[in-house]
Amino acid sequence: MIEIERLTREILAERLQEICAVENMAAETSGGTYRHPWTRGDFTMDLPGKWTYSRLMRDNAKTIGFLVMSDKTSPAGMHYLHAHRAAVLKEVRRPNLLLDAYNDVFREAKVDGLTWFVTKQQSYHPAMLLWYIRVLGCAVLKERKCIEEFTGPLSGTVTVEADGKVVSGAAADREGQYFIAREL
Amino acid sequence: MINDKIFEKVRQCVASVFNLEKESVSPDSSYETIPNWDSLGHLRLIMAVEEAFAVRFATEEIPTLLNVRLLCDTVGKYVGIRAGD
Repeated sequence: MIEIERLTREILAERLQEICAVENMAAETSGGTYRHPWTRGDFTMDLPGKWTYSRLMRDNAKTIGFLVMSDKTSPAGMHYLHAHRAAVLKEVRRPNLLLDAYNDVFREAKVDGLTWFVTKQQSYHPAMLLWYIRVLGCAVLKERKCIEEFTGPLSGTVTVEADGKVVSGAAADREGQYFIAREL
Repeated sequence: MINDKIFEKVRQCVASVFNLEKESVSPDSSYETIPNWDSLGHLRLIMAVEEAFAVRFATEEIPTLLNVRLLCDTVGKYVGIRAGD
């Protein structure tokens, strides 16, 4: 039975090896789109809200995926939810598992008073960028400075539609990252 | 009962996206029966069906379209074709 649960510091410590294995398998099966797999140190690092807003996905005892999130505050003072890392084993036959994990976090964050989800996605993985737009309902911020000036309502900053290949109306930053957001 | 014309085109999309023989795709084919129908595979299929029928599914609909029958029914709703037409 597949379940989604909060990825606490204790659960992470217990399952760190399995979580790293999922990360490495995701990297190996990504066709080169997963360029910098996380190490044990990345997973264990403390971040604000990380042990509240991260999720573990498991099939009975087996770790099959994870979603690492935290809450952040922009220089403009906006408090928002941010995704750092997500991976699901390719053999898992449940297309909405990651979506369900996100929605689980979004529900909790909303109760806690957070109102926005903002994250970044590498332009070299357009399929995942498209997933954020079409499945999770995100829009793409025009440019990196939007995240620094982010104050909530996206008036004038989001113009994007995905056409299946590229995102028009927005530019990736120098590191090839798009910044994306949706209201919780 | 699903519309034959829609089914044929959806079947073609499923076969092409998941690299299958068209004949192996039935109305009951789903993420549970087709290997590689994962989250990104699902999105590729959605995009292929949208292109084939010149429709655009709503964000909240996309996660629900997890088998061929549901895809056909939803496309039918968009293009205004009923089963048997």
